[in-house]
Amino acid sequence: MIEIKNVSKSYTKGKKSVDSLNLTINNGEIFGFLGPNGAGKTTTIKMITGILDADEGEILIDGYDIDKQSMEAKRQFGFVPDNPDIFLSLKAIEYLNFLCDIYDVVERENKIVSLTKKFEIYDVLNNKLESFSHGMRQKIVLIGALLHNPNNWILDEPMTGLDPKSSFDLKEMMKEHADEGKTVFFSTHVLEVAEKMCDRIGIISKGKLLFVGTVEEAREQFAKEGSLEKVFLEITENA
Amino acid sequence: MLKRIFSLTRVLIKTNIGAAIAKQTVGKRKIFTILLLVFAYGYLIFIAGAFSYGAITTLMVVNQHSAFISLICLINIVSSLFETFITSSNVLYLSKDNDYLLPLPFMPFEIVASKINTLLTFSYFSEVFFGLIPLIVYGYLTKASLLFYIFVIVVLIVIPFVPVFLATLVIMIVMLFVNMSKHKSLFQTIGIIMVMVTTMSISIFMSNNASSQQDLLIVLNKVNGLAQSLYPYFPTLKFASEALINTSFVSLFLLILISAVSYVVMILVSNKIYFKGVVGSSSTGSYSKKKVDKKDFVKGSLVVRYVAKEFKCLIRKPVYFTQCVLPSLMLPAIMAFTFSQVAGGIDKLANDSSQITIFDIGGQVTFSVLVLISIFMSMYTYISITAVSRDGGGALFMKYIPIPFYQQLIYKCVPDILLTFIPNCIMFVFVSILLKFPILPVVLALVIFAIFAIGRSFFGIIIDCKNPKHNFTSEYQVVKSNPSIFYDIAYNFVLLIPSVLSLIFLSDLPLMVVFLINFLIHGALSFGLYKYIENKDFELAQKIY
Repeated sequence: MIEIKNVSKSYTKGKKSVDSLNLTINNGEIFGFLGPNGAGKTTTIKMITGILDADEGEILIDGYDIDKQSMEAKRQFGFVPDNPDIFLSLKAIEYLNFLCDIYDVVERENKIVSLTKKFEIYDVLNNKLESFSHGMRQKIVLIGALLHNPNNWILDEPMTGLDPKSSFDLKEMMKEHADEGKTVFFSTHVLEVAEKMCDRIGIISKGKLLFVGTVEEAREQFAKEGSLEKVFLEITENA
Repeated sequence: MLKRIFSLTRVLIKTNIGAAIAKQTVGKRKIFTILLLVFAYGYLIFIAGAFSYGAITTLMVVNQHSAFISLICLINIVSSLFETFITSSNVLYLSKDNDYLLPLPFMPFEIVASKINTLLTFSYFSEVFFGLIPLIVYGYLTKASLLFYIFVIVVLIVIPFVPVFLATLVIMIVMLFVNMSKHKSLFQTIGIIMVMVTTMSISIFMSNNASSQQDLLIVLNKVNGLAQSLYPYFPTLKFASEALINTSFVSLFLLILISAVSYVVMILVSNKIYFKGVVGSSSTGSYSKKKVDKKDFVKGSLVVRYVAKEFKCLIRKPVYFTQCVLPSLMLPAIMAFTFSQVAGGIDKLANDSSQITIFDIGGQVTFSVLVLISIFMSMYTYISITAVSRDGGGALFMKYIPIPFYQQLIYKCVPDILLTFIPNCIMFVFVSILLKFPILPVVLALVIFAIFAIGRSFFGIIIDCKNPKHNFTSEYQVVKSNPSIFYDIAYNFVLLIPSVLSLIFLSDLPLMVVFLINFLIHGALSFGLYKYIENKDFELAQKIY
C-alpha cells in the first residue's frame, strides 16, 4: 500500500512541480498515473521512491515513511525507472546478482532463470548491458525490480521499448500481482493500457492531481460518450 | 551553409567543453570554480613560461635560439596529432550526439566539417600552453617586432590543420575495417594506451637527458635535428618554422596554402568515408553464446559485490580505465624508473642515498620526502572525484536501493584508495630496497600516505556529489571537461604543505614526533571527512535526482 499525504515539491522558488498531492494506492490495486509531459508524474514517482525529498507532506510504503524509515520503506517496493541505462559495463547476470545481494534474495537461481526465460533474455545473460537494445535493458531492469518479490511495484513508463509479447507478459504479471493482494503503481502515456489494466487512474497536470477514480467514473464526470483519450484531454486542457 | 557549419560547430564545442562551467548556476560556486580554473591554468601557463624562459636563455648563450621555434612548431604538431588520436574516436564515432545529428537535415559534409572544427578547437586549447606562451616568451626575450606576434597568431591557427587531418584520416580508415559495435572498447583502450606510452616515453627521454644546462642544450639540439629531418614529411613544420624565424611572408603564404588545401581535402575525404564507419558505431552487435551456469548465481558479500561492481564499471570502460586507472598504475612505474635514471644510475643513487641516510640519522628527511612525493604522485588519480558522475543517469540507483547513501559513498571510494595506495606502495618498497632506505621511515611514510589516500578519496566523492556531471555526450567529458578535478588537485597541493613544513622546520625533531604531527593532521582531516560523509549524506544526495 502506498500513501501520499499532502506532498509538495518545488524545484524553483514559487513554482510547485507537485502541489499538495493526496493519494492512496490500496493493496490489490493497479493504479495508472497519467498526465501530459512535465505534469509532475516522474517527480511524484521520484519522491515515492526516495530519489527526491518532498518539501512538505509524507509518503508511506506499507506503513514505512520513505523519509524517516527509508531503508525499510525501500525494501517494500521494486522500481523501474524511465531510463534503463544503468551500469552498462556490467553483464546482465552480474547486474541481477548484485540486486539479489542488495535485497537478500533467496533461491536467486530459480527466480533469475524463470523471469529471464519469461522475458526471453535468458540466453544473453552473459553479455554486457551496453550491448543490449533499449527494450532488452528495460527487461533486465524490470526483472531486477521483481527479483525480491516486493509488495509494491512502482513502474515509470514500463512498457516503453518492450516488444508486444513482453508487454503482454508484463501486463499479465501486473494483474497476477494485484490479484495476490499487492500493489502496482505505474505511469504511462498509453491510455489504452491504462483503460484496460487499471482499477483506478489518477490524472495529474501542472503538479495538481485533477482526478482520481475508475475510468468509468472519469467518463461519467467528464466526457460521457468519449474514449479515455477524450476524457484525458478534457481534464488536462481545462486545468 | 557556412552559417549552419558554424552554428553546429558552436553547439558541438559547447556540449564537449563549455557545459562544465555553464551548468553550475549557483553564483558563489561558479565563481570559485572559475577561480580554481584560473589558478590551474595559470599554473600551467607559468610552467610553460618558465620552461621556455630556461630553454631560450640557454640557447641564446650559443646563439641557437631560433632552434626553439622549430622545437615549438614540432611540439605543437605532435601534440595536435596525439590529441586528435585520443579525441577523434570519441568526437567522431563514440559521441552520443551522432544519434541525434544523423537524422537531422544536415548535409553530410556539414556534420563532418563541424566535427573536424571541434577537433581543431581542442588543438587550439593545447596550443595556448605549447605554442602561444612559449612564443610570447621568445618574442619578449628576442625583442621581436609586432609583425612576429601577428605571424605567431596566424601560424598557430593553421598549424594543427595537417596533423588533425592525418590523425582523423587514420582513425576513419581504421573505423572502416573495425567492427565498432564489437571492438570499440578494445580499440579505444589500445589507442589511448599507445598515445600515453609514447607521450610518457618522450617525457622520460626529456627528463633523462636534461638534468643540467649542458644536457638541455644537447636535447634541444637533438630535437631541432629531429625537426629538420621531418621537414620533407611535414612541410608545414618547415614553413611554420621559417615563417616565424625569418618573418617570411612566402613561408607563411605556403603554410596557409598547404593548410587550406589540406582542410578542403580533409572535408572531401572525410565526407566519403566517415559515414560508412559512423553508422555501425551506435548499433548493437551479436551476442556471446556463453551460457550462465551454477557459479554465476552464488550469493556474495554485499560490500565485495558493490566494490567489484565499481571496479568493473571503471575498468571495462576504456575512457575511464585510461583516464582514471592507468595514470595511477603507470606513474609510480615511471617515477621509479626516472628516479633511478635522473641521478646517473641506480648505483650512484644508492651511494648518494646511503650518504643521505647517514646524514639523516633519524630518518625524518626520508620520511617527509617520501610523504611529499607520494602526495604529489596521487594527483593524477581521478577515481573518487568522478565516482558518482561516471554512473551518469544510473546514479539514481544509489537513492532507491535499501543501502544507506553514505555507505555506498564509502564503497565507491574503495577503488580510489586501493589504486592510489597500492601502486605507490609497491614503488616505494621497490625504490627503498634499491636505495637501501631504513625501514622505519618508509613504513611510517606509507602509513601517512594510506591515511592521506583515504581522506583524499573522501574529499573527491564529496566534491563529486556536490557537483555531479551526469549528462555528458561522451564518457570522455566526465574526466576531460570536469572542473571538479581541479578541487582534487588543489587538495593535494594544500596537503603538500604539512610535508614541506616538516621538511623545513621539523627535521631536527625525532622521527616519531614528526610522524605523530603528520598523523594527527592527516588523521584528523580524513576522519573529519568521513564524519562529514556519514552525517551529511542527506545533503550530499540532494544533487542526484
